[in-house]
Amino acid sequence: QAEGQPQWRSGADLYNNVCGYCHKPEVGVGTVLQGRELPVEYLKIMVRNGFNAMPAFPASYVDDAALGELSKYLASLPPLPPRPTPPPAKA
Amino acid sequence: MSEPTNAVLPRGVTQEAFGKALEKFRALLGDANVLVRSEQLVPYNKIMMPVENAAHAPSAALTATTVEQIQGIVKICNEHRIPIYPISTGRNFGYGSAAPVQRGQIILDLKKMNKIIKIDAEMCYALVEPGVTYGQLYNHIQENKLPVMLSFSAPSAIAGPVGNTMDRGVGYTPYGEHFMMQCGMEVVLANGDVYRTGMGGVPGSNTWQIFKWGYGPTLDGMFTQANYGICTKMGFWLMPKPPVFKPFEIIFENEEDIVEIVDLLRPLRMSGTIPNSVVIASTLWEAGSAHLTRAQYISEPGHTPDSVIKQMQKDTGMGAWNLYAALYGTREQVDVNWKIVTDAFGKLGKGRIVTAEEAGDKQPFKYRAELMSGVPNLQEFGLYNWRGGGGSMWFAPVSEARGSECRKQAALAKRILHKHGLDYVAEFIVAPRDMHHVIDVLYNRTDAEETRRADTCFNELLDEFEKEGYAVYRVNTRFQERVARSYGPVKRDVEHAIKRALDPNNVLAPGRCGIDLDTYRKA
Repeated sequence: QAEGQPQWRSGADLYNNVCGYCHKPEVGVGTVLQGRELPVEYLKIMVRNGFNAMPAFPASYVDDAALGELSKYLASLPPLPPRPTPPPAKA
Repeated sequence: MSEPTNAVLPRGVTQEAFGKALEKFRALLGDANVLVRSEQLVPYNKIMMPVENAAHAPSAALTATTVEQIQGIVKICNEHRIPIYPISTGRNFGYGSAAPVQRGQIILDLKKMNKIIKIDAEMCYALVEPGVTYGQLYNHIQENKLPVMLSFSAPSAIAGPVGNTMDRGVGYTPYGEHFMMQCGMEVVLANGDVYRTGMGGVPGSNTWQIFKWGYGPTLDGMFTQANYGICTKMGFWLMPKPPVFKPFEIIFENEEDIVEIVDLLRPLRMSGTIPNSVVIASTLWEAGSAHLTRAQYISEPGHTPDSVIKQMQKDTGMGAWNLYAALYGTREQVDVNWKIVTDAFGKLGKGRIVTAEEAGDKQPFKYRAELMSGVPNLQEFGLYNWRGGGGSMWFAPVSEARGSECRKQAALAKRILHKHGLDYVAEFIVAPRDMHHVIDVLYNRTDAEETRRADTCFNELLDEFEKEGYAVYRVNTRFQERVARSYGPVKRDVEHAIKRALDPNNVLAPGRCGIDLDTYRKA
């Protein structure tokens, strides 16, 4: 990116091009994030450390400013019920 | 100015020398591009390997955006004998991710060096910097309505062509053998020289991304899976977007069917009738990428019993083997080849063909169709939810594309995985003659005992396959030295002679693919 330009165009841009590929409700690799009012501090801890199946992202990939925008964008989306419980085991 | 807080030093480097080097890095790059605090470094340390993070902890990370900065960095590294580990997008999950091969190495992070230098829509090639992602390229191609398509690994959107190709990764379109389609490379050598391969050294040349070999020795291959230079630009060919794309699936019921599947498929791949890197996914790979989890079916420890897998097949319609392939071209070309394919599999008398029309938006067909047409998605990361817990290593032996060989490898892998309480989760990625037999060794990394089992299991997979004359095409950083031994001492001697000639101070990623002047002793 050009010097001084924001790394991601907006919170939506970051969500649509990175996080959403796993976290959008229709995907379901990761848990639903939208409309949950997750604090930016929490998002930052998860993104920087990674968490079990979720990889980590260095600031060179997703910087703090972008995480702030992401947090606002997620809060602006309507909350959804958690993804449907998978069918029970039929052993 | 922040002082290092993570208390990790490069091997053989004193605190004093490290401090001096950091000062110089700061003068060169600015404070903001020299990361030494633990909270800045922890994202680089996330690994899926069965070993504690400390084993692959970096001492620092540098971010650079220009070739001149990288030249400056290697100069400083040589002055203070600082080993650096370059990453491009750093999404090498299951192969070591972004963490260095050896504890203490400084990461050279090129993610921010991310210019798409050129896409030529007539000659159909791209020239890019290391930090460019496939997602970025995809958006660029869409926004500019360019009539070309990408090929990429399943981490697609967040991965990138330079990093993937430097590890000789693969995709799923007719351009799926990425290194094969690569053309023209720029590397900064350990002495600071900027070397361009192929036609790139010719002043005024316009054929760097056109003709691969150039003149004299052609060295692109020498830089992939190696530590002889830092790639700062890479060219590669793009497939023209065809008028018609026809993805399809063929589902097979029984494990033993793999023999007939492969022997039937081979001539179709060999003749180019099916032009893309086909996959034949096992039940549990299919299940994982369809986002089923083991916990939905069974809670007992150990491997998932065959009876449970059979039940999953019954409940879902998934097969023991699930083949995904595609046809490309004009309507007429696709129709002709579709007849050849359906006739061939029709004669076999087994295998249920599923078309895009039948599959609709159903997963995992949808994500497979997208990967085979260069549309990014991360659906396949569902594999990491099969057992969860963040443990995954790719065990990827090379095989002949011969049915009996594939069956033999699958049975061998399954036996060893089961011995250690883990599952056979695999696919064959099918070239005309070879298979990348890709096995995801999935385990719960938060469980110490299971983690130890996974480590033992991976060692045993390497050992037992080696006894049969098989070796892997690529491996995680924990096992790179081990796998180098599979390929024999002469190869290693040559590799170290080249290393001595090009990087006498051993500053570029020592240990990568087992190449390390400090530890290697001629047999």
